[in-house]
Amino acid sequence: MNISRRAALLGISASTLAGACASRAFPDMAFADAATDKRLVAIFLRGGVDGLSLVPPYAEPKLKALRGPLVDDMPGSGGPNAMHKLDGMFALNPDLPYFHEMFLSGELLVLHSAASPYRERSHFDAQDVIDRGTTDRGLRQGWLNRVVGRLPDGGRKARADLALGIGPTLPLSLRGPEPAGSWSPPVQSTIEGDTFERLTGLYRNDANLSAPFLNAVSAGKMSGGANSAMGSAESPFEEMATVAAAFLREKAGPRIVTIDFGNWDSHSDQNARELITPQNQWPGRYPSFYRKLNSGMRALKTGLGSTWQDTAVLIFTEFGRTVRVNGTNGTDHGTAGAAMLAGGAVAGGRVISDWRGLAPRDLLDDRDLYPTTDVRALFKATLREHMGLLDTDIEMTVFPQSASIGALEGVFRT
Amino acid sequence: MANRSVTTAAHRFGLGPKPGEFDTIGSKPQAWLLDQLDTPYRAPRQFEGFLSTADQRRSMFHRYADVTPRLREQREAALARGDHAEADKLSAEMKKVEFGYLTWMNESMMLEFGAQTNVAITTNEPFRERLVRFWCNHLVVPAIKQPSKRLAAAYEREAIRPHVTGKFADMLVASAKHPGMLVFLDNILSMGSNSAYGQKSARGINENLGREILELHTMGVMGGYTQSDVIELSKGISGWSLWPLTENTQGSWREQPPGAQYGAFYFYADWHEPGAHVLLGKSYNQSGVAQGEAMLNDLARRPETARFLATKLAQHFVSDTPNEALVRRLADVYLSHDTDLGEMTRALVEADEPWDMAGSKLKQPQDYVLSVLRVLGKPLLNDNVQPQSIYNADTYKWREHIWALYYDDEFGTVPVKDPADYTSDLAKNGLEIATLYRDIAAMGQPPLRAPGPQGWYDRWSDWNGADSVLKRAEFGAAKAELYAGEIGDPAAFLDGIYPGHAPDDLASAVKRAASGAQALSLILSSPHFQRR
Repeated sequence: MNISRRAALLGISASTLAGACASRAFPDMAFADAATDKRLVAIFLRGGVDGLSLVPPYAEPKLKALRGPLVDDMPGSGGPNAMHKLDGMFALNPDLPYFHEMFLSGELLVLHSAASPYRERSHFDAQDVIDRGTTDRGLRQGWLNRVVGRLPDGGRKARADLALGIGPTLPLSLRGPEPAGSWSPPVQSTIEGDTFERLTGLYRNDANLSAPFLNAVSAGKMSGGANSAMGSAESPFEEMATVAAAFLREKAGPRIVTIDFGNWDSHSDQNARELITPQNQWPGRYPSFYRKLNSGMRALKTGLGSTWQDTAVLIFTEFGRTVRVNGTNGTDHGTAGAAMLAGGAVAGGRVISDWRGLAPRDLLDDRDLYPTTDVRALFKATLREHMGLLDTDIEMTVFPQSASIGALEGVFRT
Repeated sequence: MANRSVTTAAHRFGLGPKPGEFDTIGSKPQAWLLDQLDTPYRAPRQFEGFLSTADQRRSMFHRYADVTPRLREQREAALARGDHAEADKLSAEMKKVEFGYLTWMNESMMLEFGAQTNVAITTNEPFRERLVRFWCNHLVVPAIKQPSKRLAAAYEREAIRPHVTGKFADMLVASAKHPGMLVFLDNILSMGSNSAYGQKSARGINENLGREILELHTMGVMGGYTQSDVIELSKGISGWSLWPLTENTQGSWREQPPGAQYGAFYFYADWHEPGAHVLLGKSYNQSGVAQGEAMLNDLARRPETARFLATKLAQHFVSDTPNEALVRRLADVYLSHDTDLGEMTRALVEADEPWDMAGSKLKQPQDYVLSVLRVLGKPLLNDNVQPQSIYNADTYKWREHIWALYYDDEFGTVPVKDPADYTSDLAKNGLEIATLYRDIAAMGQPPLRAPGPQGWYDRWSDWNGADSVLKRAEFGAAKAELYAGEIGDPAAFLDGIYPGHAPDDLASAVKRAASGAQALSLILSSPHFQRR
């Protein structure tokens, strides 16, 4: 079904393009290039990733005592699940070999003990803070939406296809006054030409629904390249990464793409390796998630081809988890964790961390990894060094009231 | 009362008018709604034959849990004597059982979805059904985690459905004690470190359920509780679990305790953190299960809880930003009637705001789909799915289809088979259910699988994503194509679903339409029909 229906979608889009262009919502929608060639992919690992599992401080003497069953085999130990050594303190999770390759080739940068400015422990509040880019609840719009409005665009207004959420609905990070599209694979036959024209007329009369409806058409016209490579994906994340790459490598494609990868909330049996373990029927938790993350990252980089050189990939979560293992071989909601930046121009191969250690006095509230860097320092650096945003726009518009959070420096090769 | 329109009653409070519904409503839309609150609860007939929580767990034991340990032992023995061929054979056998277990789990959930869907499409009490969906989303057990997955629908039937016009305090306790919730939010092994067992085992509290009860079920994240309250509540409900802990004989490392019923809530007294616990400044010195129950009963009666629930209810039925007076009125009624949800809902129906603001909410994808099928009068193929017969039938082909859907369905690609492969009635039935599931999932709202304990969010911005809006319109158009021949005159159909209230642009577009199918497409795919 995929080929014909998607082809049909493209056909419809082309036939109604003239109509869409005439709409007030798209004064200048056209196939012109965006003024910047730089791409940004934001991968939100929702649910709270345990940073001590993602990037374990293997050399920390207290690690085993605090985390027992959650600690994998030491780097170089020859164990079946040996961590990948990054430096004298940190390693990568055993199930992230592709990330290790990127690290070794200097294309992956790790930021440890990073956190948002949020200090409570609700997932949903914490995710909103990351998505909004501020703790100000009054700002009901996303930081990436504000980035869209500030992209160097040679005077052109932001277009719907400059930002794209992979999935049917938009994450909060992309919501706001600037148009943003969303895309997921079609499942129905598309609406035929004449009916579609008439329906578009009805949608134009609806002040709230006209923009989303027409944005969907706009994303549809670009989706041709997104479909060819999708069939072999082994997980939804890999599929989304494949689709994202297909959109991004188009010259007229989006410049900002978001991907959500959820369910990292690991209160129980966090490190269970098997789908069905001998003692119970709990599913494998983090190991299978990491394998999906790993294969998705490979799909993204491979799919981007030469565009990888112009792409920055931010990987982050809403909060880390408790340092100690809890009563059920998992970890509870915590504070600091790890974030990553990957890309062809990243000055990587290093872990940036003001590491405090795991002694009780070094923890936040005697339970969480202490936050030493605001994750927005990494976001700001990416916007400034990679996307070419002006400092004033970053400070005043994208991340208001964050002047005390300096951008990291030198995270991209010049 | 001038604004009490029958259209608003059917679309805004209900699930869209099924054929003949306006005859039932007559000229008294408010009374039609209030009657639904007053009707005593009875289980819809479509749920007959579905397994209770206890039977689900028992059945799981016979299908899977009792078999694998034996196979594993045999395999280990084979390995020990160096018989690798035999070990490989047993491995394959284990995989088959495992596949069967997961497939069965997915099948049951899919069938439950089919039954819930048909209830919604055919019910005479659509407002009550909306309330079931609302409260089930508020205290949600989503099928996103293996062990609680197949309990999600049973949870709705057992803990939510009977209470939607009763006391919230009762619903809260029923929810927190339901095996589905206990498993989903990790309370089943939460034990006090000072409990008799905790001291021996070095195990401890899991604070997940305690936190979500405060944050999501009662006071709300702005409710003013602290981390210490989370811990104290978690201690109060430590030992709240079920027997057996898993359906696996090896996992059930405790003998059946006296009084324990298979697959039901069980309180392990020797796991409960002893002593008084202080929640929100009040000390609870009850012993045993009464301690947690007292905490929950007090939480249900907090003004913060009243406000949180009133705000959510008003946001669902009125607008994203309901006015303060309405929220306060609903909260007051809730508190003065001892957490009575029926009374709070009555106050909502009797208020002017929901009637005045008709059309200001966007239908969530699942409700949009239900409303399309409901106005067309098209339940799924077989309105009386016989779960047992399907469990036992050889319906492998559609199993495979469902398996593909479920394996990883946040975004799943679905290898659609040629429908001609589905020959038996059962298989066709299953295919229809699975296809509908896929259609709704593709709009961003996989049924029964809310993304987490927060449930589905409920504002415009949560559901106006471009792709989702278009996919809803495409669904409407696809159904219009299919059923246009059956609905007769489209203009009359339009007037039949919006009596005297059809918007002018839609009415004139329908009049000018080139064909009946096009006219019906315009109605069902219209922005107007996406609103309520």
